[in-house]
Amino acid sequence: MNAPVAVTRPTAVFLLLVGATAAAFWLGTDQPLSSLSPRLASGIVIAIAFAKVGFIGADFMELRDGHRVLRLVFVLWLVAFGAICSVLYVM
Amino acid sequence: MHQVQARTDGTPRARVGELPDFLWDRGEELTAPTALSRDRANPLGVPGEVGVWVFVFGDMTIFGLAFSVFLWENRADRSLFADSSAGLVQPIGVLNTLVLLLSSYLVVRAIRAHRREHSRAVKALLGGAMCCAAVFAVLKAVEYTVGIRAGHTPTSNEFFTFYFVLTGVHLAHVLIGAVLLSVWLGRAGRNPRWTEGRGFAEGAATYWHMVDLLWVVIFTLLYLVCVA
Repeated sequence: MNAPVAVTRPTAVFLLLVGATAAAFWLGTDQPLSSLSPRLASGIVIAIAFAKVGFIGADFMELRDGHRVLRLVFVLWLVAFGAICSVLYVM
Repeated sequence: MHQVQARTDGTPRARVGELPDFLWDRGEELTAPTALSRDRANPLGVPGEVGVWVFVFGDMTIFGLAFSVFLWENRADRSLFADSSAGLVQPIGVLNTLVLLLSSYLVVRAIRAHRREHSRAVKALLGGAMCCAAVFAVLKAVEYTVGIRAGHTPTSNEFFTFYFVLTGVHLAHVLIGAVLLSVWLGRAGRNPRWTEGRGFAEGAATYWHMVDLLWVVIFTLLYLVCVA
């Protein structure tokens, strides 16, 4: 009997990141939302990018189980530059 | 009952019809991966050395400031940035994003294989990650060539100054990362023991993931957002 096949968390995260990249690419090119509200579409694309960065940090860099100071600094970077980029673009 | 044959280096051998172990580490699925990973990681919860993280966060902050300045300048002349961004080859940008994501994933698997001291899997996974780095560099060279032939140079306008500086510095990071991965590969080949290679392996992996995450933002800002 074959062993049970399970998807590990890194594999699931990798597939999620690929899906998010495809979604961002679609939103960043010509499609109904970008013609209706380009700023909104781009704002969503920026949010997707920083969410992807969060997953790379948490799961690939192993910060999910890492020292809390490392996690804190990473989250601060993510929130600070995510907010700065969003505000500077939307303003 | 499923049986996994062991190679001389301790790496389980996949049977005919199964995915090779460098793609699907069945041994990892059948044990408790999280508990094992924690046991074999730094007890302080710091992957790699503290100094690596100081460098990584410093580098990320410098790039973050560069992103902020780029978007600040974008506000001054949105049409120039939009027209210039539209001149970039978006498919190459998205392909490079996928290539770096794949390389990061392979490095994650390489760390897990190294913790189990599966040297053959480590070599295959790191070889794959270095191939991804080479593909990224080649695609970037193609993109630069296409852009320069179209008349886009670092002095063309402010957008292309940012484009060449951000992507050029990032490309240098990719090349440094590839060197680190090759050193890790060489060390793991000579001595696969995790306890002796942990510091360098985790440091190189952390650096490589930083390269990946920086590209995610660069791609978004240069190729996708400014076009709108």
